Amino acid sequence: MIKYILALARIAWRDTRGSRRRLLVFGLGLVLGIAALVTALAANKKVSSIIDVESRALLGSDFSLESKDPIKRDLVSTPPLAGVTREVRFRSMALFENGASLLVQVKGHDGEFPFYGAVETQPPELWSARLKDSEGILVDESLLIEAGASIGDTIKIGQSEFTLRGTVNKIASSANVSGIIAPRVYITYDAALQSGLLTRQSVADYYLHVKTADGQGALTAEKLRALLPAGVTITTSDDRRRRLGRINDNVLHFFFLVGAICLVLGAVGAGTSLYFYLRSKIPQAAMMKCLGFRSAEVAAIISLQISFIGLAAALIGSVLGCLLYWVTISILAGLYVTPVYFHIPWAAVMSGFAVGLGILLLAAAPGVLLLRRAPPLILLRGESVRLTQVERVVLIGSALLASPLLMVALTSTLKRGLLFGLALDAALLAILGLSALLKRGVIRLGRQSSSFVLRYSLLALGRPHNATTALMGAFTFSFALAGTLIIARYLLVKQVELVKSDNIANFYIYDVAPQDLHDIKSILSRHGVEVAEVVPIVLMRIKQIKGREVSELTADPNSPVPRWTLRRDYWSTYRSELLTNESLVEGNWVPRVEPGAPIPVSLEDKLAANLGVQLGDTIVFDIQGVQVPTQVASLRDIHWGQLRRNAFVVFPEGVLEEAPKFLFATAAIPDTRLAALVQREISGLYPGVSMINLRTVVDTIFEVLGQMVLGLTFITALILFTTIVVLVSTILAGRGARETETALLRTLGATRRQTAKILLLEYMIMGAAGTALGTIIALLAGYLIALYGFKIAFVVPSAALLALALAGIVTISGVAWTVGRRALGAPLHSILKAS
Amino acid sequence: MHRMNSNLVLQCNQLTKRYKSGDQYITALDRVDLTLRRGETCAVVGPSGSGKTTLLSLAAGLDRASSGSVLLQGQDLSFLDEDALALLRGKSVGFVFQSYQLIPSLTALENVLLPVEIRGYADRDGAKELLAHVGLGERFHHYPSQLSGGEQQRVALARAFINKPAILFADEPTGSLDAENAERALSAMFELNTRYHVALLLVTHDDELARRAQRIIRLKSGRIVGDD
Repeated sequence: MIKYILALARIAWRDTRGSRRRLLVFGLGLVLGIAALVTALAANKKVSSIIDVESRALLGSDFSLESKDPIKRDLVSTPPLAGVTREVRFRSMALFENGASLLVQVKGHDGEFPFYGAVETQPPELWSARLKDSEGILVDESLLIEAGASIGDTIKIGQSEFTLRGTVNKIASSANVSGIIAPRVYITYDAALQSGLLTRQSVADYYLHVKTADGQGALTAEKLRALLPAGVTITTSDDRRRRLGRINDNVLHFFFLVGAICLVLGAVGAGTSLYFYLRSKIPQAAMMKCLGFRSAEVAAIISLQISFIGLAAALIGSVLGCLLYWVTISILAGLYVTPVYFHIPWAAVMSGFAVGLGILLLAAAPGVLLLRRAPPLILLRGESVRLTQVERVVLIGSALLASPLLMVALTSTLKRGLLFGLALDAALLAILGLSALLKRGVIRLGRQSSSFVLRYSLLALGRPHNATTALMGAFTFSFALAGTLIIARYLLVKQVELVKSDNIANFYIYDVAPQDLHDIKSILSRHGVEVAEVVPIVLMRIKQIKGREVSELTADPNSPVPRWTLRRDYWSTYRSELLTNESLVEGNWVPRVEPGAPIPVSLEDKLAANLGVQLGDTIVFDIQGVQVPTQVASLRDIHWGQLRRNAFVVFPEGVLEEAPKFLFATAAIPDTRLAALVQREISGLYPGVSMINLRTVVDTIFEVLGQMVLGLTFITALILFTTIVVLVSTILAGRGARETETALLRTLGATRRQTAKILLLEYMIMGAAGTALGTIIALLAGYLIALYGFKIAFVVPSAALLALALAGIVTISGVAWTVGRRALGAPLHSILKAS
Repeated sequence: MHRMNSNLVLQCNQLTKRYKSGDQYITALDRVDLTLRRGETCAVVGPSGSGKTTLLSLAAGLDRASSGSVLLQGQDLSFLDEDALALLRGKSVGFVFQSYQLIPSLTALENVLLPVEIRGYADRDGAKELLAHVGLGERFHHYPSQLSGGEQQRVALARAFINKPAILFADEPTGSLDAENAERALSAMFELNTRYHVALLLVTHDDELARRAQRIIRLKSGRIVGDD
């Protein structure tokens, strides 16, 4: 038996002579598909496991209480507790010894915190020591660099002066991105209280962080939830995990999408080359049957060849996948506060192997069926072998079914997996359908062309075994994705660049007391700067919705209203006109309240949907103890992405003018140095006023964007590379037919130049059609992203898209020329022997 | 350029083809002389490996001779480069192959038009007339895959005559056909040959077919052993 198998293996190995390059391309398609899948699966699992650790580390405790007023320690006296720490957080300007002044986020602690996750300081061991040092201050490393300060310098916050002891280089309980707008400084709780900035009107958040001794944080928090006084909310690590989960779901979906696209493209490449390879073996299979081989033996020989290549491809694909995974988690490491370590993702590797085997079976099935069926008689009669209608239906059905099944297996969720798989099928079918239609159109156009070369190039797209539809589909898929990424990036950059333009207000001044506005305006105008906009802000909370108390809604487990909408402070305003970054979607805009009528308010449409209110519904707001009943008069769609201040709730004029408020002002200061000067002067006189130069933030966002673009470019490159493999495999698969055709054309009188032009034009047209269709899809996707995602005007990055399309066409033609030109030199007398 | 009798279409002088196989040189054709006049039909017969196809490919300018010369329509092929050869073939030569060699992505009519379209003109009426003449007047817009073997060979025949060639090279034209289809194709070929007064060089194994030609050249081991 072993001898028999070895004999078959020997024949199988010998049989690969002359077609090893083609088998290599088949293997390469499989390698890329498996590598992408292993990366996607491994990264997915890693992100999920990070979330568990991250959620506690980000919170820093088992649960935390939050309020706008100081929280008493004895609120959580229920034992057993391992630690309770108070924290106060507020924004303030920090004045440095060297004259620099910057907006910072002040954090004051009165005990050990965070309970989970490490803190790294420079010099080391400062973190615990700071609790006994009421005159010392620690700052984020970035702040030290931005302010140009040195250790030992004095920093003034409010009325207190501190000595800079060192920097905090890493703290698990705050994500790095939170420091972009306002870097953090750390002092003691008592020092924060003594800064003079925590007056009754100031905006601050108070926390009580709790670590339980028995690890039953969730249970203790749940018991406590019902006993909390009004205005105090509780967050557990489970809450944080859910919130993190939502954000990470998007990351995971993205990984899956990219992995799935690469896998599909890889499978197309592998399947096409394998199918044509197996077809070319039909006469040989018939001959072997003439020599006495049984159908099963012929199939076994071919299967051995394919299995060997498939196994090798799975192995190389897995190794490549591990490498890509390593690159991916190196990028991810910057986004998470907990350390991210690399381990070989064995489960993902096994799944990659299994999926590779599945693709192999599916890709090989039509060819092996033909080989098994091929009767010896075809050698004598020259007949062709075809799949039966039933076999075709079964194979296409299996291919379509494979995608949802695979996704269900990989996501471990029936509904999501099915939806994802079916969506992938639908997208593929739509793109293939569009490509087929386009191909038909192009061929029809070809029939009307008067130039022989153009006409023949267009008609050649209909050549059997040319895989034109599959190739055009692959081009369309890749360019649609690459184009969408380019448009999305362009829209993001455009949005951010708006802030950089001279006319846009880039300087924000918060927490201005109404009586200080005149003086602040004077300071600004002395520097030649005019205030662009002054917005009154009134802090309020919701008390009742449609007659139901918020406390009742919060306690109701069946209430669909999200808790955050009920607990948060609303920074509301009043005005008589709509702003440019919002549009009325329902109801009537009321500029001024009518005497005696209910107070009409305008709500953001999504908030209204969350609260479950419609036009005419009532909401009672609590404004510093005063209850204000209102009626929803209109709903607005706010384009938050335009970086202009707006409010969830807007009152008409004539209601809130006398309410306690602070002002928010904006100005356009194009010069960064002037902005710093103004900042220093105002914060010297009004320590409670906070300012921010949005340009500094924009620069930081650009840096983050740069990293994201790098990642996206890497992914796009991977997809485009997979497409090239598909292209090479199909060209190689159809080379025999092209050689015969070129030899025939030249025998009939075509010049070398004409046949070369035909080859180039054929792929240029194919590339142009694929990129055109891909670009149209990308434009549509970009338009939808602009409209519903970023909510800004859609702008087309024409130059970048044109460059992408041209680069695509040139690359496709170049690859086709490099791989296909050998066919142009086929000896003419071969036409006499060719069949 | 050699001058020749205006009726002479093809003149092969001492035509020899050698090629290397492993360490050995094999002589596929050995000093063959052959002339063909306009309207003359000539069959080349001989056992496998006798050099029939080699003779045809050298005479048609599909391959280069090791020594000797080929004059086609008065032009010495050894002086012509690849493109000039292609031009000459497009203008003066017609081909019929054993395996038809139609382009699968083109219809019957488009396949017939191919040799003239390469030169930049399209005689659609002429192509339709030729297709009608070979009995395919109803199948202009059918693709090769929609035609039988006999029909495909008749399309190839129509294609061979579209450029009004001086000479037609036919390599086992009925080799892939059954008797009935072979007869239909041959009748059409000889009829068109007479109608357009075209020289015919026919390579075949089939003695019956060979006898329909005016001349029969017998080849053996690359040499002419009979010229009847």
